[in-house]
Amino acid sequence: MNLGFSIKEGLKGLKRARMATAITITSVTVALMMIGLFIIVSVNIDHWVGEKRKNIEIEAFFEPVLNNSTAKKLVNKIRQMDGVERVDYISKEAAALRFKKEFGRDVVEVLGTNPLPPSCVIHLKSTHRNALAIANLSHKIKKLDGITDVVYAQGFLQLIDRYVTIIYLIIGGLGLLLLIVAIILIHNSIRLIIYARREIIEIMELVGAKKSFIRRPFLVEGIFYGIMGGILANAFIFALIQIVRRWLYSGVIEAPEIYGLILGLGVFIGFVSSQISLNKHLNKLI
Amino acid sequence: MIEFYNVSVSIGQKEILRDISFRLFKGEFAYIMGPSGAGKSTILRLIYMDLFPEQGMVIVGNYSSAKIRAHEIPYLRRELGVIFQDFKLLRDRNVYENVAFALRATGVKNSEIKRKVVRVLSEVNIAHRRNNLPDDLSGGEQQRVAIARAIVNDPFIILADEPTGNLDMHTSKEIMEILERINRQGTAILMATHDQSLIEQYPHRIIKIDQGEIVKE
Ligand SMILES: Nc1ncnc2c1ncn2[C@@H]1O[C@H](COP(=O)(O)OP(=O)(O)OP(=O)(O)O)[C@@H](O)[C@H]1O
Ligand SMILES: [Mg+2]
Repeated sequence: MNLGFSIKEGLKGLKRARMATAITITSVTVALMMIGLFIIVSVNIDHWVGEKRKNIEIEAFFEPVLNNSTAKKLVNKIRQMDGVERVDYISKEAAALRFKKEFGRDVVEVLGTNPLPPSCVIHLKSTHRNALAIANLSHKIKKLDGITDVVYAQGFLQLIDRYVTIIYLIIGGLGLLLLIVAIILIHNSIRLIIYARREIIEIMELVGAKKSFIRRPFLVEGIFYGIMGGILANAFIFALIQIVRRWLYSGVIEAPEIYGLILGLGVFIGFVSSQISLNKHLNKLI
Repeated sequence: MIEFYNVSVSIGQKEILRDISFRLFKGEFAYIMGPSGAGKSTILRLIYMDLFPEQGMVIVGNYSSAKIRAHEIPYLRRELGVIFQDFKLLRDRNVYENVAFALRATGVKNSEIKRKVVRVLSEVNIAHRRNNLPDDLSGGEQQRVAIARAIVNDPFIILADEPTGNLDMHTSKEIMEILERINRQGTAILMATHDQSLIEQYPHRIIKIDQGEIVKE
């Protein structure tokens, strides 16, 4: 049918309810902006945590008496284990070298013999870089014959695991809350516009306009709120990222997909909340 | 063409219409007469299916209150014209746009809209005020605009709910003359009123109701 008419009527409605329109667009903007910032923050935390996790490794120490070839057999066994990406073998000699590098003295010279056990450093697949998987793996390694000890940064891992989950829960919860707030606000504005225009609605009804036709200007309005909110939120997010980059932390990851996502989210909540409002309030009038 | 079969309506505990039966034929002019609160407006609402009977059945043209589906109601209303005591014009649009609105809202092509609106505006003698807003018009002129809007879709009947209720005797007669003329061209008219003297000057069939019942035909 006549879409131009719906759009014109929709924009007229916005003009008539200027204050409600301004308030709604502002709130939708804030809500979308918060959601956008939360996404950016989580992307950055995710990235940071990922980097930290990459450095997580397990070191397994062999019995000091083990010769290199037996140790290497053990290394091969570990290589076959689930979740292991790479294993670097450190022989007695290499261990002594490492000791010298770290402490500036030659063990063999000091003690007359090399007491350092051979060991290996195990790098994990990304899927196994969490506290639970590492605990499982190190437990399995420890049970192998010839292994005396397995060490890794247990505390740090648990810390990351625990706090990251909490942070994600908070971010997700807050984002959801804001989404609901935005939907309620748009819903309410549409309700105001519906009541402001009950006369025209009544007349449309009387002259035989179809329901879908009566609804359409309001949907246009709801989607308009969403688009405006999305555009403004995107502008603020963009500006904020530039500011943070310049003055605070240059390593911010921007995730450009976010702009499309925010705009899409705006359109979506505009559409959904005006539908809800129409179903609730227009049907009362019609 | 319009038939009421033993129609009863109550809202809440209150019985508003009781066992109403009557029939209105093609091109007829009839009054629904009765005191305030008798149920006149309710009968008209049943016809444009803004309300449905609890008991009995209302038939309007090809539609029956018992069978009509929600999405068919707009199509029924396009075959009716409705006017009211308070005109129900859009105050922010001029005369032309008020009438054109009824066509735009029902998906009539732009090229047809102008032709139709111009025709009905001159039919009710308001064409010279086409660019004025409703507030600039007298009550009689506003009602003429409302009549123009009601007939622009070529309805087979005009439902008029106290169309002269806000008008003085002289202006009321003007409106009656227009309704008479529309009726002579073949459109049926069903008019709710309690104006005895107007009925005497323009005599037609009278359906008299009181407290929700037909007391006299
Ligand atoms: N929505 C409603 N809720 C409750 N009562 C209603 C409702 N609509 C109408 N009524 C009652 O139904 C009765 C008939 O109302 P209706 O409007 O049909 O009367 P009427 O004959 O048109 O009166 P008037 O001449 O004052 O317009 C009245 O007593 C009115 O109070
Ligand atoms: Mg009435």
